[in-house]
Amino acid sequence: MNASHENLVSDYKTGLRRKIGLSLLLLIALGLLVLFSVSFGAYELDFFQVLRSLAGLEQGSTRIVVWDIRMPRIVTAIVTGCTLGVSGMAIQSLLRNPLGSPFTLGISQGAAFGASFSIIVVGSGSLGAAASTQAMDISSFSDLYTTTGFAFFGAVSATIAIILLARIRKMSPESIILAGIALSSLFTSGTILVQYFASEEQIARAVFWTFGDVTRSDWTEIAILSIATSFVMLYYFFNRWSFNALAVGQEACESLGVNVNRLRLWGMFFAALVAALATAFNGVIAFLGLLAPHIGRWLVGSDYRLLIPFSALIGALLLLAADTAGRLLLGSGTLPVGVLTSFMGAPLFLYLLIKGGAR
Amino acid sequence: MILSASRLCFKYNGRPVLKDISFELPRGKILALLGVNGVGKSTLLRCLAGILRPGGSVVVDGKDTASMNRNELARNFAYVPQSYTRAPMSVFDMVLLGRKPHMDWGPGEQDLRMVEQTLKLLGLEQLAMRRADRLSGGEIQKVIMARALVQDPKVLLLDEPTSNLDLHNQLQVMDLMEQAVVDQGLSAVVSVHDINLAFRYADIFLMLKDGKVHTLASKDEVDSRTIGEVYGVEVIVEKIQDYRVVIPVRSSG
Repeated sequence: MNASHENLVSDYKTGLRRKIGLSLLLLIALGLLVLFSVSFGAYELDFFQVLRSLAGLEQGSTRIVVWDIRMPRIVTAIVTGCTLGVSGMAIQSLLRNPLGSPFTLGISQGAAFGASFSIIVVGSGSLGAAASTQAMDISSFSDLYTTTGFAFFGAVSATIAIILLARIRKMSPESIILAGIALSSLFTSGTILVQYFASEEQIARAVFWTFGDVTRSDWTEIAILSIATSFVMLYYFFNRWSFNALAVGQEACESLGVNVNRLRLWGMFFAALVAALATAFNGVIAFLGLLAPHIGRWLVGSDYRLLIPFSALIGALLLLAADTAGRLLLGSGTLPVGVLTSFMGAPLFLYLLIKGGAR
Repeated sequence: MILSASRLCFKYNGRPVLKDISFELPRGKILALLGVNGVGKSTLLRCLAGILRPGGSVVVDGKDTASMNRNELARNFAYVPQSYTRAPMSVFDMVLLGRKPHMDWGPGEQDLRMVEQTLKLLGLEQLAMRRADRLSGGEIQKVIMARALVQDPKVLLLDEPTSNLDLHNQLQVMDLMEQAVVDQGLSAVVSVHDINLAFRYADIFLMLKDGKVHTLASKDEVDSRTIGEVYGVEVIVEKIQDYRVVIPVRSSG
């Protein structure tokens, strides 16, 4: 017997500790990115001012810039990134399909349809004086909540349709993905139809809504999304061993005592619900739900004890990095983060595929 | 008897697959499940494992499985399905999954030690930290057997564990099953296509035809006529040294 294999338990624990260490590194990276993101902007702040302000020791304009302007955006990016990362992870695991994500299931397209319907048919919001995308301030919309409400309703409609098809028709995971693609197409057609009859101003507003953006949420919305995502992450963490068992096959999982149908139903419901909330609050942010779990799996494999926090952390890091990059690229303006996640996500995903990391 | 199945019936979409299946398996014995493709061998194993809920009753170690929850079922039966997914996880983690039905919050020190002992017992310690999705077919099948043993069941249910394996690996996997039955006092129900492997390892033959029990007998009682009736072939059964060997002659049409 090889001496290095004598104490397997010790080797196993060392490997586990190494992965936990990696998650701490990601956490530190996220912290540094937050500090950089807070200090960067038209109103210049050094690191000490940022730290003092975060500790509540700064007053006046510094406090306003940090707490009322930059932090809501940064915290939105972190929470939304966590939400989409974990939601994508759960969908991929529960449907046993690497293409699973809120976008693939039609949830994002459902939200976009809901928002377009609200803006064009219900007439929610007003364009304001600004005509350019850059200058449009979404917070100036008079009844933003109507648009958000309809977007949420659209996303939840897609969710309910998927859950009902899965439950009543007892669809296979592969069929659920195909049904999601069909639903996406249906919602996209609906959006185009509604937009066809709209004025230019309404079309501009509806299209702008679909650009995922982390500047729209206020602290109340951030709190709602944080609480919902925390609850869902706890549910997943409580079922982490069932997720691990599902990774080795449905029959094997059932024979290990897991009620796969129940896990799939509730797991999908929660994943879709938080994705619907995130999309309704922030617009469509593509690729993140697909990419973050793949990077997580590449780093820690299919061990959901680690993959759940890793998917959340990587989602947060990617979204905050994309948003910060968007601010860097346009100087004082803002490039919607949804555009950048797609630009960053597609090549990164292709790289993972070529390297054989995405499974 | 460790396992008694009584009048098991099961239908897929209204089509009867299993009809009135009854058998008993004594402790420490291996039962080979035989029959043509699609006769219901895998369905019967799933019914025994509690993955499917059949009509009739299954009693394990004196307790009806109908009254058991999923974890209790998994503590009594370790089921190894025919197909498996190559998950990107370590072999140690994959084997540790066998302890899931015994866990409350997570694995304890005892669970980890059990995985270590089993991996060493099966000579798989050099694979322990390797990724399961990078193993060969023979290696992964042994790892899945290790997971089933770590589950600490009373009965092993194996669905064609040797399909897609070369002769060397077939014998290694069947040896592992035999070793577990002898050393750990388990019992096993194993579906196999290779009748020679069944003659080599099993004590009892359960042969299905048209969803019903055609023959339930000790292996010494199974002759060429029985095999011919079940498979629709003409065969010769010879004894070479201590082993009975089936030589296929022709299909009966």
